Amino acid sequence: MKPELVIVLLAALGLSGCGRSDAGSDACACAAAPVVDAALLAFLSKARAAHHQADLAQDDGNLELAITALDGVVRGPRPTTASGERGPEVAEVLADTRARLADLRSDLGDFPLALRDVDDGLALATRPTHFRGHLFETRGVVLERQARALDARGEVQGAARAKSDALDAFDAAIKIQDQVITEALSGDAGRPGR
Amino acid sequence: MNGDRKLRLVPPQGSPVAAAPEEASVEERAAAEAVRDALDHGPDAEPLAAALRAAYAPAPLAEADLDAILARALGDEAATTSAERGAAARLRAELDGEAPAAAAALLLALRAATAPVPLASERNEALIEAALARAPARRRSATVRRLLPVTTAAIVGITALAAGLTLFLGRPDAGPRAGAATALIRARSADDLFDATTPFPRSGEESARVDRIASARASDLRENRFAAWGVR
Repeated sequence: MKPELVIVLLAALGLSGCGRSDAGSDACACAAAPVVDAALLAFLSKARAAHHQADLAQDDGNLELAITALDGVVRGPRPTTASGERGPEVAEVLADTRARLADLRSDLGDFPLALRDVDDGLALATRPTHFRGHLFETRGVVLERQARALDARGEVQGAARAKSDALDAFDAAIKIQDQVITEALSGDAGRPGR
Repeated sequence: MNGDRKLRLVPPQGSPVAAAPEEASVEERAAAEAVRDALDHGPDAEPLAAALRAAYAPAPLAEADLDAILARALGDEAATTSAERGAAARLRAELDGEAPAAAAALLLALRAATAPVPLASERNEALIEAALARAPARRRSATVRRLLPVTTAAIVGITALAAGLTLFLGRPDAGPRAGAATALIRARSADDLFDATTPFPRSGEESARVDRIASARASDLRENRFAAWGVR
């Protein structure tokens, strides 16, 4: 066979091989997600520091200071791409921080703001994950505390409504957590190890 | 004479000791001069010369370097001495092609082995010319007649391979770093860092969760930096 023909044939094979390997590859599927970079790590480090600050403040019984520390995470800058996208872990850390804020605020009796924190967190954690389940659980805790507070003030009807809403929230949390566990176990069954 | 026979030391025949000492040659003097120069070059001296000088006349450690060594001994892995920073800068310059490869020679060879760049058409032609020049004379005339079609086919082939590579990478205008970009670790859900069969506790452990996420992504960032430098 002529050498030039061999070269052209080999090149054509290479071309067609590359084209085929491109189709349906995982690299293309995740190409839209931003890469792990210094900005993402800076945000995570800030969140980490704020949560530890909140731990220390909580240990001292200073819940307001804990809220201030965590407020800096949810209100501060967060890494986004040029198209406004942010990494999934950024959304999850923000959602978890919202859940903690709701817990702290409801502990101080600020139920409306606590419930708003839960809603903001749920807007971030939209997939069925433990982060989303935890937010529903936190909503249940907030409403349970609200029910007790209303009951103590003699507002029986409001207390009953809050209690009913708390039960619904706990029910939603259980459903999500069941779904996550079931998916994990069915995934494990199809994989050699996790 | 008393007739006693005494032993005496005699150098063996052909021994250099037997030869009369000679003056150092011009070449030997030049070599000695070069060694002296190397020893006198201070921080820019040859590594062996620098090591000999450090052993013979050690210089005091800079305070910042001493602090860095102490910090590292106490667990701060980020602490660096000026010598380490200098070496890192030199390595980076070599990897980026800003300086001739010395310490980075092995890393550059590994990079060339794992991600070879296509041959430039001029280089390809030069290789073909060189190969043809080495061919036996009786086949040479016939081969030279075929040089043009072979070269043309090679260029077409390389172009097609480059097009294939571009299609494979999926970013026609991203340049040579496109391959590295697709290999970088991307942001993703932190789900896999937690036991999916155990929901989060009702309260607490938020710090432990963010600790785990930050640590995992710090590791990812290190991997991405190594990948960007082409040393993974």
